[in-house]
Amino acid sequence: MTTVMQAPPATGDTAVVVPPSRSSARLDRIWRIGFGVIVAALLLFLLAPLVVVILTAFNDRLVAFPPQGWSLESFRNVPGYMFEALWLSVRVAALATVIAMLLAFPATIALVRGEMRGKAALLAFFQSPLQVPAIVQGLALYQLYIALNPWGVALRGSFTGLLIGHVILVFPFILNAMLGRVAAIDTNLELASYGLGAGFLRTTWLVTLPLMRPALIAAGFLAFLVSFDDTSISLFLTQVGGATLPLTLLYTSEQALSPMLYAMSAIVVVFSLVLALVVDRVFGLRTVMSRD
Amino acid sequence: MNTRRWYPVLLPAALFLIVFFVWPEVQFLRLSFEEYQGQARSGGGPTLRNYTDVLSDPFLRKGILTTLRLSAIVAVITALVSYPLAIAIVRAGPRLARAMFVIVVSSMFMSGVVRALGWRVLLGDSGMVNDVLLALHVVDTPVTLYGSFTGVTIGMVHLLIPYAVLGIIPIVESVSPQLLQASYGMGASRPYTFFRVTLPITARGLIAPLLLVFALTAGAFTTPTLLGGGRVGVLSIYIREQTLMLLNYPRGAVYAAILLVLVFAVFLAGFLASGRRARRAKRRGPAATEVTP
Repeated sequence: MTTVMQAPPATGDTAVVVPPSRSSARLDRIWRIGFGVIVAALLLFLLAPLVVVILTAFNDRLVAFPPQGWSLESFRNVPGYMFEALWLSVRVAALATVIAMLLAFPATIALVRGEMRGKAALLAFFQSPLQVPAIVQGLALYQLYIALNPWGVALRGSFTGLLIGHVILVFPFILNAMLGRVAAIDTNLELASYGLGAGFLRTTWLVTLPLMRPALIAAGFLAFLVSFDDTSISLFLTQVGGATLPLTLLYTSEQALSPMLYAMSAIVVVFSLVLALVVDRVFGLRTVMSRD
Repeated sequence: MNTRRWYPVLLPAALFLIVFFVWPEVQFLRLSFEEYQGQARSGGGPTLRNYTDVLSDPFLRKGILTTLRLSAIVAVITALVSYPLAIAIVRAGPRLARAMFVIVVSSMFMSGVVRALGWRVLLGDSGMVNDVLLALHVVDTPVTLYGSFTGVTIGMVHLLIPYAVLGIIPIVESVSPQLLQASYGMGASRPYTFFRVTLPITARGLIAPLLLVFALTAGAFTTPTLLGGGRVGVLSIYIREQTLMLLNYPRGAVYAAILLVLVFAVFLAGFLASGRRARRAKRRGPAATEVTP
C-alpha cells in the first residue's frame, strides 16, 4: 500500500479537511506505477544504443545484435588510421579548449566587472556563435580558407585551420560557464584584496581565478566533449584521409558496416563513460551540468 | 579602472570572433548572391537567381520542408518525453535522482556518431526493434526504420532528450513542494494534482526547451546522415552535397542562408516569448509559484 499524505490539522471551525478517499488512493497507485513504468522505459531507451554498440563490437564477422559469434577479433582489426583519427580529435579538442579559455577569461572579467557602455550588446555578440548552426560555420570558414589560399595563407586542410574552427565552436560554451561563475563571486573578496594593496592583475590572478576553478574545470570538460563530438565543422575543414574520429567513423560507415567500426565505437563509449563517471565522483555531474 | 580601459581587455576575443566568425558569415552570405560559373567557381552578381532557383523548384525546395517537419516533430516528441524524466529526477530521493541524472547526462556525453551507429543496428530491417514488433504482431512485415524519416526522428529524439531534460529540470523545481502538499492534503489525487497544479505552472516553461530542440534539430548533420541512409534530405545534407560533392558553392550558400534564417527565427521567437512572460510576471507581481509559509 502506498502511504497516504496526512491531512494538516484543521486550525479553525471553517477549515474543511477532506480525507483522501479510497478510490483516490487506488488512482494514486495506478498513477505512480504508470509514471514509474514510463520513466523506466525512457531510461532504457536512453541506454539502449550504448549497450548495443558495446555488445556489437564482440561480433566475429557480421554486424548483428545480439552478436552471432563472440570474439575479440574486431578489436584487433581496428586499423591504425582510426587511432590516428582519435589522437587528432583529442589534440584538437584539448587545444581548442585551452585557447578558448585564454580568449574567454579576460572577456569574462571585462563583461562582468567592467563598467562600459553597450555591455548587453557586447555580451550578445560574444554569444552569437551559439545561434549559428555548426554546419553553416563550417561552410563559411571553408569559403574563407579558399579565399585566403591565393594570399599564401594555407589554412585549408591544415591542423591550424581545423583548430580555429573548433575554438569558435567551443568559445560560447566556455564563456557562458565563466560568466555564470564570475557573477556569483562575492565582490567583497576582491575588494578586500584591493584594500590590502593588491592591484588589478594581482587580484585577478590570486583571488578571482582560484575562485573560478570549479567553473573552469566544468567548462573545459563540456568544451572538450562538444569539440570531440563535432562532425559539422570538421567536415569542411579536414580532408577524407586526415579527418577527426567521428568523421572517420561516419565516412567508414557510409562505405560499409563492420565489427571493427563498432569496436572503435565501443572504445569511445567506454572512454566517455569513464570520463563522465570520474567527473560525477569528483565534482558531481549535477553541479557541473547546471548552467549557472 | 575607468570606463575606457576595459575595452582592450575584450580585444583578443573580439578580434578572433570578427576574423573567424563574423567575417566568414558575411562572406558566405555574399557568395549566395553570386553567379555560379561552373564547378568551384563563382562571381559577378549580385543576383537573386540562386534563391529563386531553389525556392521555385519543388525538388530543390524539398529539403526546407523536410527540415521544418523533422524539427517540429522531434521538438514536440522530445519535450513530451523529457517532461516525465525531469519530474522524476526532481521528485525522486537523492540516490535515485542522481542515478537517473547520470544515465541521462552520460548518454549526452556519447559521441553522436556512436549513438547513431547503435541505432543503425537496432533499426535495421532485421534489427531488434523489428524483431520485437513482429513478435508482438504489431506488424506483419518489417517496417523500414533505418533510411526513413521515422528512423531519423528516433535518433534525433534520443540525441536531444538530455538537452531538454536539463532545460526542464529548473522549471519543475520552481513548483514549490508545499503547493503539492497542500493539494494532496486537501484530498486531491496525484493525477488531479498533476493536471491542476504542476502542469499549469510548468507548461509555459516548456516553450524554451522546445525551441532549443527545434533549432538543434534543424542544424543537425550526423544523425540525418547516418540514419537517413541518403533518403532523408535535410538542409545540412543538401549543404554538404552542394559544396563538397557538386562544388556549386553559391547554391550551398543559399541552403546555408536559409538554415541560418530558420534557426535565427526560432531563437527570436524564443526571445520574444520569454520577454513577454517576464513582462507579464512583472505586472502580476510576485510569481504564483512562490508560496510563503
